[in-house]
Amino acid sequence: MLFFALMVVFFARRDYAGWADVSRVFWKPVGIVALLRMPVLPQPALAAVSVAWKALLVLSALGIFTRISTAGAFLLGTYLIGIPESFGKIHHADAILVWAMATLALSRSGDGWSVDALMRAARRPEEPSTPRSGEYTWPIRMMWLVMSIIFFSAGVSKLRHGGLAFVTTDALATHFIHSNYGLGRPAGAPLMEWGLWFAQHPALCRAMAAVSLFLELALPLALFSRWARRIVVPGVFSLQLGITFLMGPDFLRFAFCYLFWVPWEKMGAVLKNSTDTHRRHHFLYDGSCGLCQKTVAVLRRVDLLGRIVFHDALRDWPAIQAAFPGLRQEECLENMHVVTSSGRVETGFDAYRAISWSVPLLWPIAPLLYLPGVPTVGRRVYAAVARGRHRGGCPVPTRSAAP
Amino acid sequence: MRFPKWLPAVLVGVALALLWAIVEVVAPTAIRNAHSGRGPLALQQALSGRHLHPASHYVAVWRRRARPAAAAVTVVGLLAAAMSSAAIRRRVARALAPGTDSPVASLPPPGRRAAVACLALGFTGGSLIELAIDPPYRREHWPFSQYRMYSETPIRSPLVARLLFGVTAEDPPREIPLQGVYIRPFDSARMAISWNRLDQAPDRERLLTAALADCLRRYELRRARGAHAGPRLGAVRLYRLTWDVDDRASTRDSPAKDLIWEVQASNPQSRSR
Repeated sequence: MLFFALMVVFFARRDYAGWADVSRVFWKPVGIVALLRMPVLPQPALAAVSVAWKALLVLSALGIFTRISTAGAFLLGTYLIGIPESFGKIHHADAILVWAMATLALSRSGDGWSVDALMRAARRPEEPSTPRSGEYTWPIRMMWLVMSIIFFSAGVSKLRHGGLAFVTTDALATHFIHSNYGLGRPAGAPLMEWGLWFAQHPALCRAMAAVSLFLELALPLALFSRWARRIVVPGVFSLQLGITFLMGPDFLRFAFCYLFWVPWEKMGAVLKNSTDTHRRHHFLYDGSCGLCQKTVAVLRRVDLLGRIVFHDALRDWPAIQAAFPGLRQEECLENMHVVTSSGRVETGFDAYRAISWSVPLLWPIAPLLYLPGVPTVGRRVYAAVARGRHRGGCPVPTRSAAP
Repeated sequence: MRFPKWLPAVLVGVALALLWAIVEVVAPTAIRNAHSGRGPLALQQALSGRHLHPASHYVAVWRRRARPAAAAVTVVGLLAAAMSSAAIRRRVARALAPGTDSPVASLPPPGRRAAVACLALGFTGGSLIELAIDPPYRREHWPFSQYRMYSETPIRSPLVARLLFGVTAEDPPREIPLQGVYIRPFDSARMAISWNRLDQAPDRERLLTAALADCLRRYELRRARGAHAGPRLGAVRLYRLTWDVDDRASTRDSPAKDLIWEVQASNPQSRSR
């Protein structure tokens, strides 16, 4: 989701249709573009493909029709990214995006945080959120492999073409100096001129070159060693950041792929554990009602930080009564209740409004629920749905039905 | 029907032996025959300029390209042969198994496992072959690459670059470097590499005339559309810029300029040196 969101932001304003208007004297197809004889489509067609690709990236980021949208994004993206590569220069930061899109197209990335997952949760609330499976770890390992081989190849290429000259000569100092000759280095100006200062210190440049070469060659170790992941991965990230600052070329697209090295699961667990249990909202619902179960399944999905404690007012009533003696079971089964962290009790539409402030993913809509007219309409809609719920074969059980 | 355990290793061995026989014996013989006008016509046609070079030249080119590729295939083949042994597979699996603190995870279905293995092997194999054959810079088999950036040892001075300038249609005319929004959808790097290629092509005069005229046409088209606010141009000129590099980059704004090519708006077919 994050990867595709970054792709959307990066490529939103990229104009691919313009390539159709470029003279073919510049055209020199490379790699898969030449192999598959991919043509440069006429301008309207290229513009349409470009719009379709960006739409698929948006759908992939939101996780809507994820399997189809990620596969489409990969196919169209390979074509669109491949076209400029065949006009003069291959940008080395582009290919990794193709591999990342291929990986995600093959994966079940939509099972995690996605609209598809929310809709599935609403349709089948009894299913567990995402079972622990290799399905959800192989894409990460695949991207580790891709990045490792890319960096390793860069290291081997340096050794192959210059031996140890990259380390033992002033090669890096010369690159620093050349980078500051604006028109002479079309790859882009460095963010700052510190490279010139480094170039005055050859020993420092050689040490930097040695560390760079070591990091490039050592990244494959991160596939197997947790320690290598902790040291080498931040190292190569810093290396690319350093290149951007001191030499110019930007590795922003490459940086998207560092997302695959972030231990999201651990970070989520830490964040969840950091939430003070006294600051959680308690959500009371009718566990015998299908609609309520669907609502709870969706809320569980969006409550990534575990800010809500869910209670089935039918099954867990004794515990609820012990914790909140002021509540009555009939009322809790009639309307959804939220006991906020401050002890305030909200029901129906106001209950949803209360939890929208505690779940970060719902923060964008929380202020909208206070706009004039929205509470009035919201309460009426909630009441109508609740009434329909009872008429639709989902009766409110009596106290005797409770365990 | 059960195959003997040693069969995969033997098959790989035979295949590798055949491969090296082709690389070292069969192909060089075929090249020598084609050079002397015998053998398949397609191969004879492929040896362009054979009246200029001896057969040994083509054999050397073949070996320079084929040997690293065959070596990469050999490594992959030997790995595959080794992995055909259940004992080795078990050892590797043990070595790669998650630690005891890792949560237990179920495996994806077999179909997806096969697809994932193909993707991983395809990327790894392709990358290793690319690394082995080491194609010329900017001519990689995209999206594979051997990532040669910064691998050449640079010469500090002089620094040479080809750059496109626009000549404004005003009196007196000015020269402005055409970069950024003026050359979209190109970026400066793609443009510069294109000039290097076109300037060194055998029919450079035709290519440079067409390329410069195209840049001028697209500049004016985008200017008319409001895509940039640059001045109207009367001509475009391609220069070779040469810097006498010093350690503090104090000469960065004073390169020596040599005109390579020019195309005028009034006559796009015009050219001059």
